[in-house]
Amino acid sequence: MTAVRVQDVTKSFGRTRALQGVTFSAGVGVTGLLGPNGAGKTTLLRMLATVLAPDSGSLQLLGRNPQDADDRLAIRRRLGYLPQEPGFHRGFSVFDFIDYVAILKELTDRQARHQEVRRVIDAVGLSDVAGRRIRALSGGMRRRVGVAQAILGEPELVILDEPTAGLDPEQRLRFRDLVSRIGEGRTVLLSTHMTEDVAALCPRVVVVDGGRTVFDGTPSALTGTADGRVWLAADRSALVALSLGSVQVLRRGASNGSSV
Amino acid sequence: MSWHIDSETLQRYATGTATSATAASAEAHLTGCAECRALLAPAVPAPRLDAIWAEVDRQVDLSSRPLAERLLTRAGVREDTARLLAVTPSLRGAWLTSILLAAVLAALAANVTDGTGRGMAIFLTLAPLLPVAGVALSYGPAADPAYELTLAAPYSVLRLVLLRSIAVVTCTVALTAIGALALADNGWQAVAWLLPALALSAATLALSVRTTPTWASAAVGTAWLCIVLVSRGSSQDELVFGPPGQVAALLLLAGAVLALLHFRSRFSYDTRRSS
Repeated sequence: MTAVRVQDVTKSFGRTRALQGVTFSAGVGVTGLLGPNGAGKTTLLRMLATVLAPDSGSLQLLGRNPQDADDRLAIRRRLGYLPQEPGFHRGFSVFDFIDYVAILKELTDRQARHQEVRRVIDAVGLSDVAGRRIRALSGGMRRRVGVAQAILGEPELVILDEPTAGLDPEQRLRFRDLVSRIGEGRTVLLSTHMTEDVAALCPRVVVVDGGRTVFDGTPSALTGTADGRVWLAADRSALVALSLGSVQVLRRGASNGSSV
Repeated sequence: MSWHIDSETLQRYATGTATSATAASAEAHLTGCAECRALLAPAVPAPRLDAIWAEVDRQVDLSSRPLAERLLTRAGVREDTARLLAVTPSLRGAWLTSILLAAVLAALAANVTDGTGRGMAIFLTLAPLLPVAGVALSYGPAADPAYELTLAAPYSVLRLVLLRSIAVVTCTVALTAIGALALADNGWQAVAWLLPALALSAATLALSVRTTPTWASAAVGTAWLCIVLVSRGSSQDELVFGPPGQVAALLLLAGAVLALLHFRSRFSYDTRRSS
């Protein structure tokens, strides 16, 4: 089943047009969302997390329409979401914070809830610090707390906004491992700046720029140019410069793929 | 160890049917004898083990909970609801203490300047603003660091908003009433702040369907101050704090509640205008 269908979606904030007609779909596995800063990735992911409503266009998540209240509730019951800046109640311990989110996810029976909280803490490898307060954790550990709450209740659709931001190379490797495990049998959408993340994790990649989808395909369809850092879509629809820590769409709809 | 627990005693201990004296001596032996412990483990019925584990989990959990949560649970609030309430900034001790302090000081100020009626007007103007400020800090992006997660979760945002703001308004109004006891004037004016307080709080909530609670409370607070200042300027105090004002507050309260019910689904999304 195709868990995510996005058709001509637009969104404006005041005069800023964040999304100007995004179209793509995603099914089981990890799909990477790539794009420069301000491309509209976060706006798009917030919409897929049912936090924002689109101005126009259609959105279908897990076969349901998030604009409809009943459907939205059904989607939220099967959704895991790591926002770009997940806020934490910093006085809470890791266990208590995830327990708090588990309550919001309608796990009302205490024993079953605690069992699930322990399971996700274990899955992200934080069992040793489960009792420690969040404000005493390193940035990388906090990211893992964010991922742990996103996989509470075995969601079918997982949205991860920049899960590797601020991680050191070793942490990033462990993270990829974690994300690819999460991606087994689920639909995972993740946005990132890191081209290595996409190459290592995502069988599918969607490149967004200026509020539009400019590329949709496999990472290998983005072919490398001489220096290995500028990739050209195989169908020459876009020229994308990818380097460590940044993505730049050099040319949209380039017809003759000239080198840079 | 030269002796071991006989199988019958072990069985009784495992099922919890041993007398307390037998259980105590069995326990003393078990702590030192790995052999008997190994025999005991499979003898304990699974349901009993689950029940014991659940109780251990509950006791450990309860003892580590913050004071506010324990107080709420003791007051009869469900433990999961207590956890959702206890993180509210405007339900914390420091905030509630300052509310009480503000109410008492305003009441004392009212007494000092009494005679002119100005002091009483200060109290009646300030008191309704206290719960409005509390509502501003009860949920939303400014008050709840996990706001974004809350929106994406299945738990009803409307329910959360109502739970928190009703708790905040109830606490604030109770503390303000305590502050009002310090008023020298015990006439009907000593309670004239109550309806405006409820009406302004409800209006703040109703406005929050379009914007953040912070902006909503700023707008409501400013409007209230303008009304009070204009009426004072034209010496029409009685209009605001007297019977006409009370009727207007009642109408506003009803209108705000209706608006809240009508637009309740908007809480489900981020209510900020930009991002």
